[in-house]
Amino acid sequence: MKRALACAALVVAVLALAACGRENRETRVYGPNAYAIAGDTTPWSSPAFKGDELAWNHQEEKRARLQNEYLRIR
Amino acid sequence: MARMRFLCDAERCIECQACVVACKNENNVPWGVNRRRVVTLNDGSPGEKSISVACMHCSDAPCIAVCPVNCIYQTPEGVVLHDKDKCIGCGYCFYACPFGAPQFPEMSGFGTRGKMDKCTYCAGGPEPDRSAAENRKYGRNRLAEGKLPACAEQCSTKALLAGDGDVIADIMRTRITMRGGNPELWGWGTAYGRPEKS
Repeated sequence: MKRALACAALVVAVLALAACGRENRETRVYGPNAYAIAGDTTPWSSPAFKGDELAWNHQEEKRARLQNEYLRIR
Repeated sequence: MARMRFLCDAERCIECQACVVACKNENNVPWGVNRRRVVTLNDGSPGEKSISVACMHCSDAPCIAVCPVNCIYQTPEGVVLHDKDKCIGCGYCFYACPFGAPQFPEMSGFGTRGKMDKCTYCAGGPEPDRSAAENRKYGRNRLAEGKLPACAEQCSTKALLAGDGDVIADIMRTRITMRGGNPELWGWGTAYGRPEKS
């Protein structure tokens, strides 16, 4: 009887601790691998930029700076 | 690496709703869903202020933390996107969002929610860039074309700014200097005040 109770307690303990083995969600959705994990592609991999990240960054910065009308009216 | 941000200058917004129309038009947003909207405080009283609100693509986005199916993700450029194929329409993200950005189309007469829809920063979603599937589910992918979100690019008073956080902060600093103070940067601290996850 004692042996059966000990076995039952062991099974309950294993089941109770099972949730502790859950993967860390945060590593799945942030950071440099987020695109690959989500099945998405980077914006600079489009035909317009052909994988050139620097060119994409340059273009985005240029367009962002054009929003400054103080520079545009000089 | 650019860190994409939105900034709305309440001192300049004239409540023209052009950003709302641009968003709807660019992304074919259905009836009942408003990815972007203009909120006016003290409407009709002297000193009323308007602000254009959508998903702010927060540095430490609370919607990502609460999503039970991990359908929301943040790209290295800081854009918060989601996968409509995984979304179960639970609505947790709506309760977590400080800006009320997630939208849910009504799908039936029993009050069930459809897939969540929100601003994508005109960056599409997890489908091949500029594909028909991406356009149908998420709207146009302007970022892949080297452009900025339509709402900000067509804003006539440039109240709504989009782009790299450092660049638009520079623009805002120039503005504040020229007008002698009065920042009116609503939502900036809430969205970007916390350190980014990495």
